[in-house]
Amino acid sequence: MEGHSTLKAFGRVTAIVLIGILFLFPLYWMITMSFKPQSEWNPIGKTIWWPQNPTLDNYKQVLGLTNQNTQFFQASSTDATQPIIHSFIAAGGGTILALVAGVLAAYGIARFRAGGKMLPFQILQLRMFPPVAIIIPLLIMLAYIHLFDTFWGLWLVYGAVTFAFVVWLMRSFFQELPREIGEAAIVDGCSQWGAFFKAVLPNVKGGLAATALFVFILNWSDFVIALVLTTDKTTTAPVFLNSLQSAAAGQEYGPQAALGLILILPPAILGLAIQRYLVRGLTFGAIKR
Amino acid sequence: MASIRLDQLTKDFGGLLAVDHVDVEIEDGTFLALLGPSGCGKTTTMNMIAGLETPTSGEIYFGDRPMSRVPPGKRSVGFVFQNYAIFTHMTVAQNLSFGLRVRKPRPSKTEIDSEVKRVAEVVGLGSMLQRKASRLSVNDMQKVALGRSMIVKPSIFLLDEPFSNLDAAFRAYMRAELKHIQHEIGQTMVYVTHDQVEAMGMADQIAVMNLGELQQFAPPLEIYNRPSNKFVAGFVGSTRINFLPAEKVAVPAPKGTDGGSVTLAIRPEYIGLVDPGSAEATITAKVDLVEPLGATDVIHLSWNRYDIRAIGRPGARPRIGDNIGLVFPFRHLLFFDDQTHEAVNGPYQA
Amino acid sequence: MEAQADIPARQVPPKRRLRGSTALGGRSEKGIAQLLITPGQLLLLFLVGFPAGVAIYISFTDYTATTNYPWYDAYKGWIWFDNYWEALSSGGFWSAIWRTVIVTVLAVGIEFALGLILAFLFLKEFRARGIVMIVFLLPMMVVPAVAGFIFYMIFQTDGPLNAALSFFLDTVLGLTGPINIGWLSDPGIAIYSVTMADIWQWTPLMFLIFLSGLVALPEDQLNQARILGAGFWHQLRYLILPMMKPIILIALIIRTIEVFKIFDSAWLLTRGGPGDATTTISVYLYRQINENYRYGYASAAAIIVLIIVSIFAIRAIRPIEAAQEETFDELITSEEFTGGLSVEEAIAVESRV
Repeated sequence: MEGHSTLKAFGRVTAIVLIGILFLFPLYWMITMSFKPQSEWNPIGKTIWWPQNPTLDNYKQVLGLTNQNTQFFQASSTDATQPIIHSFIAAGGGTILALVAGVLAAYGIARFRAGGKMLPFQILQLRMFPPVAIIIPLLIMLAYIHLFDTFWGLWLVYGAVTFAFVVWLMRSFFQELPREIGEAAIVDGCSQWGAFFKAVLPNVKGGLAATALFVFILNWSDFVIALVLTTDKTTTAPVFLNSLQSAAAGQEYGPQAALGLILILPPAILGLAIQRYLVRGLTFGAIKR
Repeated sequence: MASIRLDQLTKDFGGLLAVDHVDVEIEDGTFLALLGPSGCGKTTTMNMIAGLETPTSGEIYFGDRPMSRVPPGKRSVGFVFQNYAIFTHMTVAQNLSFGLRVRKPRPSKTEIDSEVKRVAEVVGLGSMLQRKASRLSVNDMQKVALGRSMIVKPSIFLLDEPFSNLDAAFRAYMRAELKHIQHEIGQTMVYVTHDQVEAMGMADQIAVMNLGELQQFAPPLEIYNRPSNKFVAGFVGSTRINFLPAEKVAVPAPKGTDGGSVTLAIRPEYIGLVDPGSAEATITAKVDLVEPLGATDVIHLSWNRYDIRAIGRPGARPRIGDNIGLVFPFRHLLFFDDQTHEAVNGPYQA
Repeated sequence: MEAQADIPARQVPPKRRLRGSTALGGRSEKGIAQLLITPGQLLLLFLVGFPAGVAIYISFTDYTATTNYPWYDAYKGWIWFDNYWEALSSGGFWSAIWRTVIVTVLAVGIEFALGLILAFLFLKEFRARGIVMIVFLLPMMVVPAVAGFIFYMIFQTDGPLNAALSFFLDTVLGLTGPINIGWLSDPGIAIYSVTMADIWQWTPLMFLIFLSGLVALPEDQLNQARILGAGFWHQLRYLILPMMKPIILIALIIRTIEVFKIFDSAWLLTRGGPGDATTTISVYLYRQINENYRYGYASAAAIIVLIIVSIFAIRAIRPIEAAQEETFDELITSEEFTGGLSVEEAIAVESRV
């Protein structure tokens, strides 16, 4: 009996280690690539598993810190500081917009049954449509009102797209709150608004923060919307990464890897912070741990 | 059907010694009550008998066979949990038949169906076989739990406070039913409870436990009349036994270890009530409170800052403040050493 | 309300308060409710509703990026259903749909199985479990575009994947010669490479969902099953999977919805190529916009896709609804709620009041 369970434990550990290696390897590859000098990116006939001459050049290039006297063309083509800043601005603004509209709507749905029984599921249905599908008219419309390639354009679209998540998440948080909290405040003399801001909202602080971070990650990670709706003025980081790939300069793995790593750091850190709420967020509030 | 032997059975949860070297031998067909307060180790002991926990040391024998390496499914044990653990997503019939459906080789559908019907009749669920288990009343869930365990005809039946969630009338009914079934089939049963009335009423043997240690293992009457230590004496008995320091009372008393003092104990129902000044009275006490229970009264008295309880008859109910003479018949006196708390033989015990 | 005073408190189930009702007042509530959802409604109206209308409008025209009149004049190129017929009879459109279906079925299926296996592996506590689990969650937090790029590097014919495979199969085991699979360049394989990238990225989500489901399973019932003789596979079939059904359904539905829309990784891996080999439906639509500039046609195609997805959505909403209701169902049949009576008895009591 005891031998049996040691065998099982050994099998378990082996399986976890093997699958763990599979999961880690792509990240490992990108991280090490970001520290490799150009000669090690893709040498013919060889694969370099561990950077032999690690360097920070890729990062310097990506962050515009290089003071090498490179070609004017090449220097400007890998400096990603602007796109990174743009990503922050676009994701941040979109998140705020989604939060404002979403928290109010979620409260209305949870507390007052606004929009009737079907509204939550209608919002879920929105989520099912491929963004590419509505990109076309959005492109036309935004161009028409001169919001193409602007931050306001991005904020509106990001806000609309992640609004559903905010509603679903915050609705589940509001539902967990006993209604007595708001009612007690009203009995104490607050108006409905006062009750909302002073009594209800402070009690969902945790959920609100988690929702905000979650939506920020979503907006930060967006690719296709920014791809279609921006060109040079508001390019975001993922789009910039894409453009590096098709640049005539060839496959610049190093700087791309460096940019990739920088790109995924905020979501990784934020994601770990809201680990507890991830399942709830990604299943539209249907599954609460 | 099998006998059970617990041999120095111990379970240590790394800091918490839940079961401490318990030695018990249960004959085939016995109804054993594991009695003790919460946390005394009775549930852990049961879990080890069933195979849900492995002992830290010691061994469990079913008949002659050591069981600690045998997985739960192969022990032929039935176990009814305190909260029943009904399979809520299945019907009653599916719950009952579960033990047969997972058996290798799997019995035929007709066999399973007839067994399910038989067991349902025995526990009284015949009309509810297709109902979803989550929609049952508590009483019916209890029956499902019993039937589910019974259908696989286990050698040993374990029950962990199975009736504590039922209402009083049904509880009394189920106790009688269970005892009846056990006696008819001759099934070895281990029944955990903290209710000593239940234990006294149902068991052939009682094992009293406290803080992981076995206090006494004997038939109910012996537990009641000859408790082996102070704990057992105080734990068993519907109205709690009276403890008094032996030297203060004018009765012949033995000496404790190394000549030390002993505590005297007498059960409330053995105390005689006489007039205060009477020569028979061992002591005279004052009435604090009278609890009428219907057929009897519980009379609370105080004497020299000690509380004493006695049983009286409604016809002769004293009033609060009265003085009453209490007679302590010598043959009903129990003595316990003040150091070891073990029972000490008095001069008059049979 | 008065009649209830006669019945002993225990027998009457506590009054269920309807959501949306409150002791404090009536009509103003509807006003507040409407006010609260107005910002959201406006947002959706202008950024989803209106564009949808525009898309429908344009889909009936031959509007392109080079049309020299503004979009609201698109009626000048009205062509009725020509775009729709073209899409419906287009080999390109349907193969894009078909490819998307293949990716979806494969990805969701494998993510499901792998996620379940991982959940079982992590079920029992072990020392470094918290830290190790973070490793397994990392792929999910990677920006999909970056994931696409990472696998672009890895899937190169002279890249690390082939190098590792060569090492094991050739050098170590001597089974084959050096491995030179064209993960991205071979049209027959590229679509599976895209699938693999998605599996890498999203298995952790299934893993998380299933783990939270497994952990919540009632241990008592599983113990009882063990005692009755049920081994692991019996427990899985009769207890674990049935009890996890709602969670499994939700996970499958949500992943299916998301995979169907796949774009980011497909684009960064292969740009839809080689040729058409990895053109999923989203890629197809994007290409129509960005390479052919045929906004009218693309809109028609997009609307057809929306219809297809909506059909799926309607059929899929029901399990999600049911899952939410089931929790409600369990609530009203639970013991505390009915005071020990069965549901039928409780209803009988209440109706007598």
